[in-house]
Amino acid sequence: MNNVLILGGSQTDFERNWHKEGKNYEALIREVFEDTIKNTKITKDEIVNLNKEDRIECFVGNFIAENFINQGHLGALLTNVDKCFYGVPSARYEAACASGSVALSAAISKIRAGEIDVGIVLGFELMKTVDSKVCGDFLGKAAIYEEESKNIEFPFPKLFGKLADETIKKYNLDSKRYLSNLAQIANINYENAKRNPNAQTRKWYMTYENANMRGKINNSNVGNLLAISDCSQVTDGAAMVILISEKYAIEKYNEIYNKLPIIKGVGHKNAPMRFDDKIFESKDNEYILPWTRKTVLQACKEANVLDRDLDFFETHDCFTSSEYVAISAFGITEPGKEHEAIESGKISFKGEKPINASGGLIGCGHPVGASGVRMMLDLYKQLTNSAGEYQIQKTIKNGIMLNFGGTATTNYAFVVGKRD
Amino acid sequence: MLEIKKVTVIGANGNMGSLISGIIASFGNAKIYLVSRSEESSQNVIEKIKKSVRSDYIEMNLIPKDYSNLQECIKDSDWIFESVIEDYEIKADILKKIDIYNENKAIISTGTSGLSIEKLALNLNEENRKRFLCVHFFNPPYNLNLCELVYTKYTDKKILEEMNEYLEKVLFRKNIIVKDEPAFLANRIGFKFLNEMLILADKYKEKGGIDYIDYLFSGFTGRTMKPIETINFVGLKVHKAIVDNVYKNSTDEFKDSFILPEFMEKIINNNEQKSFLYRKIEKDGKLIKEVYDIEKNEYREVRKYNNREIDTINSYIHSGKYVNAYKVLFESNSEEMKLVSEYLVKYIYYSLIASLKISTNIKDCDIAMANGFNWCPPIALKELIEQVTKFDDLLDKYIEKDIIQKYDLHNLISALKSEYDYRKYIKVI
Repeated sequence: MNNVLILGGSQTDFERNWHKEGKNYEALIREVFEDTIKNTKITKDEIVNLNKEDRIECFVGNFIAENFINQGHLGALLTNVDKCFYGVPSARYEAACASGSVALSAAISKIRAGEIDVGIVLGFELMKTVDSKVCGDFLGKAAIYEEESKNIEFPFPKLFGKLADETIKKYNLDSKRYLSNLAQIANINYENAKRNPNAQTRKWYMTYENANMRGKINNSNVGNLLAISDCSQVTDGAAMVILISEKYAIEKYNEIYNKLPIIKGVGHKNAPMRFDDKIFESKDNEYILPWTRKTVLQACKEANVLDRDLDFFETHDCFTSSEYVAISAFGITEPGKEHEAIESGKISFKGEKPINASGGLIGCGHPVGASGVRMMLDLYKQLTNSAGEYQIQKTIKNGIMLNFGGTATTNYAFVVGKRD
Repeated sequence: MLEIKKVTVIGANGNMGSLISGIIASFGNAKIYLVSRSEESSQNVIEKIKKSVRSDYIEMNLIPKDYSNLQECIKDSDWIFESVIEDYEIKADILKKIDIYNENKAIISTGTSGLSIEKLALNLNEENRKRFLCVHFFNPPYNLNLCELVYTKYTDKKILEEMNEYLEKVLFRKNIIVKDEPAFLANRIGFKFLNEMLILADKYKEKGGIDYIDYLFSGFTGRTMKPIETINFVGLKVHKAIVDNVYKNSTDEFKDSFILPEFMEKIINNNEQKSFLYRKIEKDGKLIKEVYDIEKNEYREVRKYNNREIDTINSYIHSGKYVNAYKVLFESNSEEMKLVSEYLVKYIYYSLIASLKISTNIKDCDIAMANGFNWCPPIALKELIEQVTKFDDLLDKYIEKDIIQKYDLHNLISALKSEYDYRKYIKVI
């Protein structure tokens, strides 16, 4: 099996509203591609030449552009951005909010199998073309729409609100303490985002106290116990990474290949899609989301890394309740004891097991089809000491990202690390 | 780090006073004494403040007061922020009161957007003058995080540095330190350009005037809101106050750009209440957007202008081809495109000259325009233009020789690199 290395990439500024700027998908993709070229030094000629030898492919992650921007056939869109993509095989990959990860996974598989040497992975979503209620309805299609979303205002906050309810019930938690823990999670993500120059919320005000004051006008409840501060926000954005085979790294990037992070392990498991089925299935399991835990273990096993040896984490905090359960899924605590890692500061930026140094989905933003790719880019940045102000200030060797589609239905985890 | 736990905001029921209170109460987590004419009006503004920073929690930091409580508020404060109406006599009167009550040696600041700080400082005793500076926020401060710190010859440099650090690290402001010059830096640059747009609207009134110029200088020139719409949003009287102040009190060779056109004087004088350049009215059950027609001295429906080159430019920007768009703009021989090119070049060179004169760092003009106006920063804009034509040639084409020589513009500009990305500021609106 060929090693897969990350050459680099870029993300757009998630603060921007491309619809208000009067720009389309092409402007978004053009910008992330131009910046990727600048950052990685890959050239357009190189892409053309690789294609002549059938060594390159593009992988486009996007959830639901057909609804947001009336555009399908997304794999082919890159040809509209630059002529260097003429002839390059490219396809769209979709798994709701894990669309970026399924695109990454496809690229990794092909490089590992020796079919290609270079995979250009793009994730994007333009969501601000519609108001928040319509957006909520579109996103509701990541659940079983007819049963879980249709005619329901903001279905996903409600579904992850149910996850909060079920977490309290399963582990017999004190709800006040649990909600305080969720407020701490929100606050950590907002604080981390302040250091990230591309984060959506970097200029926003948030504190623990503010996040813990739910149910009032400016932080109203939107999903049972969950309030606005517990949710990631509607975001426009794109992220791109270039994955290369070790063979190609030696051939073309010999001076730096030793420093390029390696994708050491991939985990992918699908849980039952209906939320109630998930909870019913896990009733006798110590984990509330056992398939999520198995995904992490699968990635760790392939990477030959124990979960306790993971140094840093990027997780899918679409809601604070999803980050809460990710803590035990990562093996940072036992299930039901996630509060220990939150209250002790273990998962904070300066903690022993920092989660979402980037700000995560709550702080950095969540353009759904881009999030998986953005997480991979952030693992790359941390491992190459290029995260700037949000660089984790401790020695790190291996990190993991966890990306969900739907209500943690599609679970993807990637362990990425430095060379042993 | 400066510890600011309690702040008195005087004029807290005003727009800026209330919004600044929100910033300090939230990011600074300080208790704010909201002082205005009556406790009721201070109380009434609390909901607006909470909404401005999207926080209910900060209510516990907001304490409504009136002027009868001024002495006790000031005595208990670490920072006193004067944000009353932009009138020298009224501000002077407030400062005299602060001077008497400031037993706690609090930092004193004014939020004036253009009055002389040096002159205002004379209303304070020698001790208080050392702790006096202008902290100029922009509207709305939650979205526009520029803060101009203006000092006087009396200001204690340590206090200036400490406030600079506090505003940046605690209140998350983007600061520039500027001299006590009329309108300071951002408004000096911004309102020169805006007033020039009014002058152009007057000049081209037969072609449509206000909405015609707004059409020519829309988003593709690097802004979110069209220039004369911006004046309408800011308020005609505020615009007049700023440009009159610069014209009256500045000595620079560009002061004619700050002369308010006659039609503006006429609109302002004819309306005791708020006057408008644009307005929305209901006609036959429909909301119609109207504009003031300078030639006819009446309001009419906003026109739809058609210019093929602007259509092409916008189409390029729509798909992210900024260089192609600016090629159309700068390679065109049409009168309209030449006009736009000329004023963009003027915007850039005046920004640099203003920075040289008013600020401590020439690149502060980029910080000022990006964070105070959300306009394409001048040096970043220059970098885009340089991809399609030689900027030196444009200077020679549009700027008088003696100005180029006086400021050594060719050398000054060639070395500058922006820290901003023009792509997010060039828009289609």
